[in-house]
Amino acid sequence: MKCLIRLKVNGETYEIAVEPRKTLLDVIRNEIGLTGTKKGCNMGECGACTVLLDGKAVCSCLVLGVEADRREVITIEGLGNGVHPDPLQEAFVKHGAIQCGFCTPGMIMTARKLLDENPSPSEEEVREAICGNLCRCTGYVKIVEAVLDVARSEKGGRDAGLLSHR
Amino acid sequence: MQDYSVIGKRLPRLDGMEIVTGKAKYTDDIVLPGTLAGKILTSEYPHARILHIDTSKAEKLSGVRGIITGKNVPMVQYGFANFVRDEYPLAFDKVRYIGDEIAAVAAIDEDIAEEALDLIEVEYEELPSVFDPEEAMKPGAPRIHEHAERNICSNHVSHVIGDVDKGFRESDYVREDRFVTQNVSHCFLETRNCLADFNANGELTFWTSTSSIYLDRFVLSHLLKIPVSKIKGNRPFVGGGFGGKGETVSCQICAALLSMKTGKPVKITLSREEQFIADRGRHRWIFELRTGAKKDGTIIAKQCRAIADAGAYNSLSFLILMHSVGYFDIVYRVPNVRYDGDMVYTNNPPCGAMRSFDCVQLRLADDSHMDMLARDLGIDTIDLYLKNVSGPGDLTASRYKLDSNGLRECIERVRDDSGWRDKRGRLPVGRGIGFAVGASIAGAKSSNDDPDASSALVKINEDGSVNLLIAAHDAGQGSRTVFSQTVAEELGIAIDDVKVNFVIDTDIIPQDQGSYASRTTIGLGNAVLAACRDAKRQIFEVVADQLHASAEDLEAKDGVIYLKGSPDGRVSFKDEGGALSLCLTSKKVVFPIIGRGHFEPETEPFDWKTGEGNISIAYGFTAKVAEVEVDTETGRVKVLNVTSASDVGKALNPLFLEGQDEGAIAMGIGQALFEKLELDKGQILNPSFSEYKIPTALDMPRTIRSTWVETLDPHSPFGAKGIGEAVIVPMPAAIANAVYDAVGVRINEFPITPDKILEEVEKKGKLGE
Amino acid sequence: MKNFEYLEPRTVAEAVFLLTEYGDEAKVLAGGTDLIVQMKLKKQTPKYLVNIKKISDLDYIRYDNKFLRIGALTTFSALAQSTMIQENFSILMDSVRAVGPLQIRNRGTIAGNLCHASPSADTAPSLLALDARVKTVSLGEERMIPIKEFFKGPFATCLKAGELLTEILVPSIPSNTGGTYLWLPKKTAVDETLVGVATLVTLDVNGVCDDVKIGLGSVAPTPIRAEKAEKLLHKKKIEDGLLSEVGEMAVDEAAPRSRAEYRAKMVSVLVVRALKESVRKVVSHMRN
Repeated sequence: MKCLIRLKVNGETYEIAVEPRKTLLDVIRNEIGLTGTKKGCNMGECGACTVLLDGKAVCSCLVLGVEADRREVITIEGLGNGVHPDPLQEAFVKHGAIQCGFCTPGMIMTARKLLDENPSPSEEEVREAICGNLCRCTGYVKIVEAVLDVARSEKGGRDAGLLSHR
Repeated sequence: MQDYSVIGKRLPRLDGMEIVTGKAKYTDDIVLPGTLAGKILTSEYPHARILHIDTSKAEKLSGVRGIITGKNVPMVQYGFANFVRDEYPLAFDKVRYIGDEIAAVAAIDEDIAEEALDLIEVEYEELPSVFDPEEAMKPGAPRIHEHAERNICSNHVSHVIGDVDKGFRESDYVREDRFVTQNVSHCFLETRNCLADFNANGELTFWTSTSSIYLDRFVLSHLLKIPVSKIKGNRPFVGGGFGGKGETVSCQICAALLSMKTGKPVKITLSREEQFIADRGRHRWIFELRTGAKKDGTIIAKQCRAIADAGAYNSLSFLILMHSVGYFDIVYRVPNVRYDGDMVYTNNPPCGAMRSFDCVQLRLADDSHMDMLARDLGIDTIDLYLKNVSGPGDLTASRYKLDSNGLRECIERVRDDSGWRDKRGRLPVGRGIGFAVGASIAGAKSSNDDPDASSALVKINEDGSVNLLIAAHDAGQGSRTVFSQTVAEELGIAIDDVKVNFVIDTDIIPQDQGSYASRTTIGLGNAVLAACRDAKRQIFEVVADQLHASAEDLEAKDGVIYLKGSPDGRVSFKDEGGALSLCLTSKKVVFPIIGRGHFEPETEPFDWKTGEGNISIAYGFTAKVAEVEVDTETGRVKVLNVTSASDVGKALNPLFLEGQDEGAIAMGIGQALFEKLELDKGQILNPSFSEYKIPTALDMPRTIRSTWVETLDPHSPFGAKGIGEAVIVPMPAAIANAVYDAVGVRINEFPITPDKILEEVEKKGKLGE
Repeated sequence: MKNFEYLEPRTVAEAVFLLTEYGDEAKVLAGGTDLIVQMKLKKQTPKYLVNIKKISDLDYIRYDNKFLRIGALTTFSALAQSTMIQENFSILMDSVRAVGPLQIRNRGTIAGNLCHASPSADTAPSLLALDARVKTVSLGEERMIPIKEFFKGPFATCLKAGELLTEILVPSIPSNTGGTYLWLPKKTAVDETLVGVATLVTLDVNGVCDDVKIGLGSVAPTPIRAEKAEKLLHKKKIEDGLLSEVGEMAVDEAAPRSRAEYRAKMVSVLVVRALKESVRKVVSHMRN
């Protein structure tokens, strides 16, 4: 039997009837049609499906859709505003932190959460934070560089009173 | 060296913003109305006759729309070369490994399709099976394919140059070693998949994650008896390949067959577990190596006996054996060489192509062996290599023509950059430094009977913007961007004026065989250059009239077309009154101006009996030094830093080159230290990322130094060579040699786990002996 | 995944009622990081899934200087952010740090980790060393179960059908006590634990060992205490020779199955390292 859930994704409210066995990942991708969030393993082992659920980074493949009832989800499509990307999105391009791109949405969501909570992470803290996001292409070198670069510039911006849009 | 405006710059990916915003569509992101989900039933037995398949219960399940088995699919075999084709889309007579595809279901959703699989009843008669290649070659072993005597795939390969026996007799010292490598899985993050849509006109459209959409179209046409004109392949964004998406496989064929059966679009996306089972990764090789040298380190003779486990089907195994022959010769100059090799069928899952075509296993064995030889002779390992290293212009024993070869410079570079001289033999117990080399083809055929052509179209619009239409099978390497740089450089325009296609649509985009054999840089690169020159020639003819000059004397650079050596003879490319304005009024050209380019490398086919032949137009080289720390109580290895130098011919975009190198270093660390597909009687015991582990951000060295040697290959666009495969080759051996340097033990069976290190250390009695 | 009926009780009583009603056909969903995976693999196929996350008063960390009380819905992330735990129960914090990446810590609960009863559960050795107990509620009954009696086998606990774990209680740590949890992952840095060792050492003013507790993870069918090894240290001064004897005794008490030889060696290595580190902590604390 399907359950009716109401959830907010990237600021929009959706009312959807879902089978309890469908995961939040399936709901986001198949019911809502936001396919930026990727299914890499479906077992919570690769981090490609990372979204923010009530502000916390989670593997959306380990959350049931019904559990997201009356909760708020931010996906990769919810970063930036469509015209102006998030600084992390720009930095990933600039630093070559993307190769095949399949891990990228989850990686950026995890990194965004890190910088929101810890604006000046050390290299080790960045590595700790993203250790649940597997990447087979880059060896993580440029990903770490990109995150640290944004941390530096956002810190500079914050100190100068900029970045009020965030 | 020539001065370039766009080539050689660290430009970001043109398709990057698509990816980071989540807008890039991968196959599984594409939905057609009414799409059914497909699932494949696979064998539970390693070797069995199929007596009966009963699908009646599954057919009755609500939501099931179609089921196919080996009985109702085309009985056509496929595989890379005519004489080694041994596979059917679905097994119909027997199954040869746990995972062999038997039947496929299409249903209204994936959960129902999965339930339907449980309802299909298969009656088997179990057959004796064999899992070890050395056992499989013995008389009386179970025969897996009727055509393969002693289970040998195709034929025994024997490559002999000079007289090795005499060479060993003349040597001052001879060393022998045996190494066994492990099965390694690709672990691309996007599993294999296919969305197929067959319509009432008899036309098939498909989307798939592939390294070769044209080969997929060819195989589907061949199997389904549909002309290629009625098959439209689409290659959207692809989530990694590393060689594992170059072969057309069952899930693609079954999606097409199920769509033909149901008349609806059908999508099959493998689960991670299914991917581990269907993946055709690295082979398990057994290498017996023998090298004879003079006291001064001059190598007189080298011998290799290689046996590899192909698994249940040939896949690309025999071709990989061919390459292994060449990779044994490519890094040294040795007068006497003997290589004997067999690819052997077993009832394990089939293996296939993975980054470097298994050169990495051969070099892991041989570079470990050579490190030991150097130590035995009391010579520094790097000096031993420098004494015997191959060079530019060499024709190797297996007839590879190394027209450009910067291996010597690579070796010297990593020696100097890593502080080798200060560290080797001088680090405390538990710390070690190791060195190894690598090489790879940089533009080869997939087989003797496939075309190897690349084509490109350049379309110049009235406003001076350019569309580049190419089948660049970019899975992150950056080839789309690099070829846009190529267009900008060659036409003398800004990269912002170049628009390249992100999706390959086989109806529109000119053919290229795909991204394998590190062939894209040279193959497609030359085609793009030719297309640019064709377009430029048309413009130059118009401009030449204006400048009262000959078209041959014109050049385009930085937005200007000018007469060589004349400061006055110049017109802007796209400004008002410039070249394009002239073209608009000229009767000689029409817009869009279309440049066509084509390239087919001059390579030699393999001799299938010896593995000899110059199968690549160019070869890439690399050397690496790794420094490790071994916890002598736990045996755990930490890679501290890696120094790398590669002969890339010419660095077209250093950002992407570093990306290839860094990714390869990660993959090499995994292979050296923990990656292994655990098999028990043909069953994969660790088909998940929780048990088959790949490196995380915390497992990587904190310092990686990636550099290039530029040798300007004569066959290549701007002198560049493909390097994506070569860069991984030395990594595992560099770590193995560093571990030896740290704790004085050699692990001959990979990966190098803490358990094995401690066991060997204990055997040795005490450290540093 | 097999289909199931999804239930969302709002109170402990309601949850217990549902669990009693449906018995073995029901499963409790907390963080889901283990259970959802098990259900996808069809190793668990509950007919009723009881999500207890909507019960409002089970997510807390409280300390009254006698007991640390952790509500059943407390996530690893919440524990990791608790400065109170860092200051007063650093051994438990070590264990929390060993638990998976951020995404898992944000969902996974310590109670779920215990109820899943994996032999390699990282919090178990520390809780064993801390003599923790768990509080459970079933229809008309409450139980207080010492953690030592909680695990019954690999992935099996003493919880009965209809019984819900609601709280974990940890007695406060005496002064002059240092604790450490050390672990080795199976392969990579982010991996299941191959061997986990928790040691809690109390010294008297002369540096003699007043009390010691050693918890071992992943080396037996359940997490265990190495009590014979503990006894060797009782009222002794901790020195290198004795330590290696203690390490060897702990090996005897362990019964690892896969990679047995290596795991056994690692028990000894980690026990020695953890004891040294624990002693170092006490001594540095005494000096301050």
